[in-house]
Amino acid sequence: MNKVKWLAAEAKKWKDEGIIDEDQHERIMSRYAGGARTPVLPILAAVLLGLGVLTFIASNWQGLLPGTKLTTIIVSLAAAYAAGEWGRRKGHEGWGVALTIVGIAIYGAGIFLIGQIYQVSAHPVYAFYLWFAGAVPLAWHYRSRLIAWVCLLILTVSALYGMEDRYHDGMERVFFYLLFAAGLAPLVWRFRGAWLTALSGSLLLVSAAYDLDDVGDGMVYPVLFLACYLAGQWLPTSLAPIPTVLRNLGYLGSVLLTVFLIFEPYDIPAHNVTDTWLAAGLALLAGWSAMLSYRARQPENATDLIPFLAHLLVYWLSPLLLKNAAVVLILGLFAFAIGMIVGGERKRQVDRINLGALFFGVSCVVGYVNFAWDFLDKSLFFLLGGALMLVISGLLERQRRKWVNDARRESR
Amino acid sequence: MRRFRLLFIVVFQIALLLSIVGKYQYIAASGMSVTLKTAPVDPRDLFSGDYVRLHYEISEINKQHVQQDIADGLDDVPVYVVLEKKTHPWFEAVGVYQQPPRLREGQALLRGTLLYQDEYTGTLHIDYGLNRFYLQENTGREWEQKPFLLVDLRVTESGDAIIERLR
Repeated sequence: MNKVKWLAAEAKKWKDEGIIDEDQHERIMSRYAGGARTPVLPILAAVLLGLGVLTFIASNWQGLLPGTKLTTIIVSLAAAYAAGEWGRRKGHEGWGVALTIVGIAIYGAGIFLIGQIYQVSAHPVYAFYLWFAGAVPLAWHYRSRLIAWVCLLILTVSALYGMEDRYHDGMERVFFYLLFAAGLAPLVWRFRGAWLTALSGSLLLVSAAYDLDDVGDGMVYPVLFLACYLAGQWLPTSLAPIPTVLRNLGYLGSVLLTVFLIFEPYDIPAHNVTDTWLAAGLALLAGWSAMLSYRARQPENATDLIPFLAHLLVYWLSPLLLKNAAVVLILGLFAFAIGMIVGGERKRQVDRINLGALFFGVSCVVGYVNFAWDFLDKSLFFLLGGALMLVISGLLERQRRKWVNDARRESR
Repeated sequence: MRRFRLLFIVVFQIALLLSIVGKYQYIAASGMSVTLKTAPVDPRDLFSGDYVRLHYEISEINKQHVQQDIADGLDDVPVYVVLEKKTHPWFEAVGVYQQPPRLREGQALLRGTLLYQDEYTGTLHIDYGLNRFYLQENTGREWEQKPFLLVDLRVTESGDAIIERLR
């Protein structure tokens, strides 16, 4: 159920129970009804029109002279922005944004058209950077979350283009991070949408993981994911949802990396100077994170560090562990998921419980499918794990009832 | 104020487009004509459409056959390739340098990036950023079937170039 539907159901109950009157009920509903509307049809129209312009340019139709095409692009670009502005002034907010998005698509098509006219093939990523640089001021001008999404989309496509090896030179990557920092990050900061933040953060994290591939043989990834988690832990909660999103990205990165290494244990780095330094850095970051949890009086959050500590352990013991490294990582994953569920139960944090349950499910599937264990060991592990979970849930339930009874007694 | 801000953004976008046009128009108007030999392939780009991928004869230059100041093991640096018309109707590489050299009559300069060196054969692999010739869609087949193509370039004295024609 979305928030507005929930509010409508609750507000009706408040009215029926006499907590609020009819007038107050109407005022509450009118306040939130408008905010939930997304101009779906105009946006779909803008997407189709934008794609139409881009594919028309991509067809490189020779029926029009290049100069005529360029003039058409510039005139239609100005016309789309003017129509968007006019629509907004007349109160058609949805159509205004949609036409502005069409204008942004025409601007991008103009860049590709010039590339075609002059047969430009060096650094195609810069075309997207120029497109992005032109779109960002419009997101600020209109304070439009939708245009911010368009900016994210353009930068994401630039990152995908940049991942092709032959376009992957140093300055292109520097410009990518500069544009992210100066263009996208301020928009994320301004709008603070959970999904906008999550996808922008994912873009940055995946790009960084890709670019740091050459540093050592693999310890750089847990360092990167722990740094992301630590940033989420360190930022104040008043910046919501940024800290939560960063922490979740840290969890997700560490779990995906662990799952990958469970199935590909030969990718666990062997001892080398760079990875040893990175492992030392990982230990330091883990210590810093544990200290922040302790200071924030949330010691149960220390269990979030288990996958990172498992990576450290596997790295230090890699010559001894061999194929058992996968077993250590699976155990780490289970301990992390259980720690998250138990911590969530104790603090009554539903999101944490749900995330822990998801990771627990992932751990079960990975544990079952992985062939590093014999079936007998595996069955024993699952039986003991299941029994342990039953005991823990029983203890937590008893604790919960005690709290509820205490609270009732206090309220009397 | 809001209206001026929007006007400024639109003018900024148009100026950006026209400045790119200006740069390439300058090369087209002032550059020297150079023809190169190349072999075609025919892929497609999602945003720019169909194109012929061009692989130039001068993309691979044997160090022993030209004058050069490229140290062994050097890679990923800008290089300047001196071109001259000799026995063929197209230009050939006669020198590769890290700094733009003084040119003789009839020579042209092309700037590229030294991707890597094949130490065994002594071959320099150079990218000139002139690897695509965009075509109207579904017209690439005829180009692809030719054994080799000639590309007419416009090249400035500083080594910047644009493709003018494919034949």
